[in-house]
Amino acid sequence: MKSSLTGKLTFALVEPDTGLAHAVTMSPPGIVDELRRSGLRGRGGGGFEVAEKWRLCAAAEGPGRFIVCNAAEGEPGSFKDRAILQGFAQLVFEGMTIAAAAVGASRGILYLRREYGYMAAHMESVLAARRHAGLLGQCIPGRGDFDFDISIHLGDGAYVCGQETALLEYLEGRRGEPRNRPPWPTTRGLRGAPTVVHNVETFAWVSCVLARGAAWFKNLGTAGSPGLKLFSVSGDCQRPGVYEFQLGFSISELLETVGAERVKGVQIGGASGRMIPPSQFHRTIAMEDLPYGGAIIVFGEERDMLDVAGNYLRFFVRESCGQCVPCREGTRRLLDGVERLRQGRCPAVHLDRLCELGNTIRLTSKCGLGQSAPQAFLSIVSHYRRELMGRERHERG
Amino acid sequence: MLTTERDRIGLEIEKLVRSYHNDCGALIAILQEVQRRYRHVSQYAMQVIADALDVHPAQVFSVVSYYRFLSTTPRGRFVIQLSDCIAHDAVERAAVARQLENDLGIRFGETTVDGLFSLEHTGCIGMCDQGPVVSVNGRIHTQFTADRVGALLRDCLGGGDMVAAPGRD
Amino acid sequence: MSAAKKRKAVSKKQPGTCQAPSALVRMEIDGTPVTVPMGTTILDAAASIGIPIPTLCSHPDLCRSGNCRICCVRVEGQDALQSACVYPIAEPIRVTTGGRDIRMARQHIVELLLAAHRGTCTTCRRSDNCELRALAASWGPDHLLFEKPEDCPEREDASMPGIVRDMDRCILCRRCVRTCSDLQAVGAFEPVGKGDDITVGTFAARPLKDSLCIACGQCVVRCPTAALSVADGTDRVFAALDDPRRRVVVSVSPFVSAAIAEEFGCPPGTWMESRLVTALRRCGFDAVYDAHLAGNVLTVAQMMALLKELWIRFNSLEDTRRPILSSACSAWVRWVEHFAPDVLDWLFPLRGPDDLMGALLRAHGEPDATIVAAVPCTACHLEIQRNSGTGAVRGPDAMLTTVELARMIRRSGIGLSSLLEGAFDRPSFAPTDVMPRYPAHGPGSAVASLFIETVTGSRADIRFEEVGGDPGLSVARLTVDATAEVPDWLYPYIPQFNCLRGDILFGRVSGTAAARRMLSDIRAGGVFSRCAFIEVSACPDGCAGGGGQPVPTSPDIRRRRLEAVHAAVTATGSGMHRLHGAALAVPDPQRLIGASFEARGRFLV
Repeated sequence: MKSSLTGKLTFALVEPDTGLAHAVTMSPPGIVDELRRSGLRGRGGGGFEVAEKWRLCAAAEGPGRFIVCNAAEGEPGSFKDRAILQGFAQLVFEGMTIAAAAVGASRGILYLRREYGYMAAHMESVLAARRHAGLLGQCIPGRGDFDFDISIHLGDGAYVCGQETALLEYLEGRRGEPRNRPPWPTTRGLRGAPTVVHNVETFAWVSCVLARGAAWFKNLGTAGSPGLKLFSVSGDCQRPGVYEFQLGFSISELLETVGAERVKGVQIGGASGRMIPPSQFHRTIAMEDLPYGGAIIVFGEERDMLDVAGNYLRFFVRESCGQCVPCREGTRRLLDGVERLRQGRCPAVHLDRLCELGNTIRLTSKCGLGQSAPQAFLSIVSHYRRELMGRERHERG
Repeated sequence: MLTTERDRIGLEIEKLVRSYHNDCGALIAILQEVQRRYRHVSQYAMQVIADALDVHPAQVFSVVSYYRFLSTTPRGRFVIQLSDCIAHDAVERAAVARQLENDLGIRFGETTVDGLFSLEHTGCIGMCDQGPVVSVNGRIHTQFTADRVGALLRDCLGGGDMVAAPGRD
Repeated sequence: MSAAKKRKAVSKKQPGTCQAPSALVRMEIDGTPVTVPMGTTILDAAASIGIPIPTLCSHPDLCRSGNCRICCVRVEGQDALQSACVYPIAEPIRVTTGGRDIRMARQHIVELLLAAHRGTCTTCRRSDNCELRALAASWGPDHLLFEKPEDCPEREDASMPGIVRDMDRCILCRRCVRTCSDLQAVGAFEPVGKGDDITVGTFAARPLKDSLCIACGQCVVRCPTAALSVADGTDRVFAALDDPRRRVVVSVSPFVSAAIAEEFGCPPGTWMESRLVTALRRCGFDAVYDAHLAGNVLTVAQMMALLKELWIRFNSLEDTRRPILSSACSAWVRWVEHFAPDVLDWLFPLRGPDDLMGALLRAHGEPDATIVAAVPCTACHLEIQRNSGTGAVRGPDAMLTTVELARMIRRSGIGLSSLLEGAFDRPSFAPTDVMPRYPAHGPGSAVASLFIETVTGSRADIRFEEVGGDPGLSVARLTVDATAEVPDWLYPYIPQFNCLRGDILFGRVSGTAAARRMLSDIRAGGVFSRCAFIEVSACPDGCAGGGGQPVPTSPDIRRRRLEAVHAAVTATGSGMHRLHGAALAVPDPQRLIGASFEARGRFLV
């Protein structure tokens, strides 16, 4: 398999462990303050401020603390975390170690989705090398009292385990069903202990911020979304792959970079994201405008948007944990609606009802998976309604 | 004195559970290991695990039923998975799927009668830019085409280097 | 670290992070200010000021799960709606419980549930007390908007006598799952699969009779729909009644009299015994007996066995300090057989009262009658199964639970309000002057009361006190200071009572999860290991909360039923032993009252 990386990535330029070396000279609140100044937000899609998570975790009471790295990347169209782990595992583990130093954790866990099981051996060897170099395990240099080690847990094939509380349930040996929040993992996470959960990319950026300083990061991107971010770009374009962008770039810039022409729509944020039509390609990817996940899929003119909506909904129908009513039953009804549209049996009034239902799913589902499940469908209906309607009628078979 | 195959497996599993200090937090790790060794988690195995961890057998069954990589019936020695990621070319993928079914004589979701091959769909496996993607026992084959199916299956049977060792996943 | 730790955190996105237990927090619901202890849920806070929020998956006996989302409310500052039942208030939030989004959401949730539920309401047994139907009436749409799944009814699972499972009516609220594992420590039900394939199932999808189910029926009384219901046995009984050549008699458990009025619209705790007797005669039963009598026989038998055991221990050199456990509850017996077979010999091998009543009637005066037992319980069927083929005198021929009995009365066209009061028939084994109404079985204190009355010669007020705040566990400490003469009938068991001077503990346990905690306590040498006798019933609050009792159930409803039973108890223990003696005056009394158990274990291969 070929590498997915494109261009010069910051991760390739940062010398591993300079960030950690810097961090161990700082006080734990000092590390948190440095991150706060950088404005780094979680790179998994939620966009929660990293420093705030760490502060809450450090302030929470509990026996022990955990650092969990979420490599569940199951979002269709997302592969940047895979590329980061393959190319820059050092930075990820370094970031976890910095987080441990900041919140006072002694155990880290890398949750690696089963589909990435082929990387496990490589990950183990990186960890072993770090232990050998004294960067993990007992008494990390410069900080006599600081013990931290990382173990790898292999997933078992459930997308919803990428949701942080479902991931914790998994790690405790149960069905990976999301928990009710609050309490949040920063207060009561793995086995009841305060826990910081970030995805792979976030930890890698933590290392970079500590290596190059908060000001460097803060000056990139936009005011609301500082810094750089990796995107997996795939679909109907000439140069799919993993790209690094300063946040605040426009979709047209992106399409030019990846070599996409005659584009019907761009899905920003994977299955849980939304479809952007050509009329909005001037919009920018930043918290202020279009919130970002890591996946961007380009759909060319020959694609049928009804198929696209159906594919995304089938994904959620299958991957819903089945716990709460809106997500379990609602996504199924939306998919029924797509089938009815396809068979020319969906009156316009029913489509409106489905959109109302989509809104309820968004508002009432228990976790982020359910809340984002109708997004793709809703955005496709709002921008491509004409294309969806007026299909030839099929009698029921 | 061992009397049956089942007793032997029971003892092996008990030993495995003991190696995790009979901690029910390790349930999934235990199930993964059982799945790896025996290619499925049998009803008997689930009960042995439940007994050793002091949880209800239905709870173990519930966990097994939740995760795609655990199964209660034996899967083939070679588990062939085809990613249905939306970013891939649908036409090429459909051709690969048909050729796999044709060569093996089974449909997706089935296992060959000789217990050698299982054919499954899987969600996106993070190779969206290099589809279609086939994985055999966890080993990834990118930009896969229908004409490579024959060689892939021959490699499985001949122990070639296109596939990982059986039982690994 | 310390600076960060001390700083109070108030964050919009992550509430619940600055919990200081027992502190109060002032918040606002629909503009009404309310002050609640930190950690109170929005649902409870709203209830405290009379704001109703609909619920479905939550139940007063169970932990909250937040699965159905019908209780969604808006917390100011949050994008998504929040489930009121699981949202702990940790900061001064503002909550709205109405508005278009919430109204639409609740309507959608009801619609989605209706679309997935086979709603044959007109023929459904739970039509009158179906919680989904009630929700649909308030929140649902006027007509169904989504297509029903194709009509391919899954087969009902009626393998377990007394209980029927119909997954077409299941709405996946998981109350049964929480009941079975949290309240009952059985774990027969768990969610199986995920996504749109999810269901609630048994181990390896086996029929209920091949799972570890103990037939307590606690899932039945907590199911919001008819996915779990009591199997209907009325047709068989009607057939017997319709046959003019057959004599059909019925025995009525006091716990049926304490609850059946609820089926006719009366408030919980309404005692309906004498009119029930009349109603049953009108149904065509040739005689109506009081199953209380068998309970009394059992109480005497248990006390005698206890005294015998205590005397043996007094004379034994070994320190055999382990309590004796009751075996009157068949679901509890089945639980021990499955989950704690190593303590089976701590149980007195005696029959349960309703089964015993049938056997007593058969042995005395009703050899040819069809004997029906009206019981609060779904597990009694197990006891009949257990005793068949063991040489024991057969118990009742049929069992009717409280809800079945009510159905039978309705189907007989009997209006309860106009009935005259009737009195029970006296079975031939009961001496004419002895119809004692001694404290009933179940979680009562019958054995302890009779014990103290017999040993000291005077009655005592027996107070059970909760152990460790666990409503399922309680212990009474009795003090024996002065002892009475040993009556002749007890002399073969214990020649003197002096050896019993001092404190003696009696335990009372209800709910098999509590029983599991009780067994751990015994093994750890806790207070239960010092009990002489422990009365265990499988259902929370004992037979008052039996699986055959009316739906709904709650701690309050069960407390009222218990109070009704206890109010009907007046007599003293005098004459109890004559009843016992007369009842067991047969050549081989063991065939009447004895039972044998089987170590089943947890493996079902």
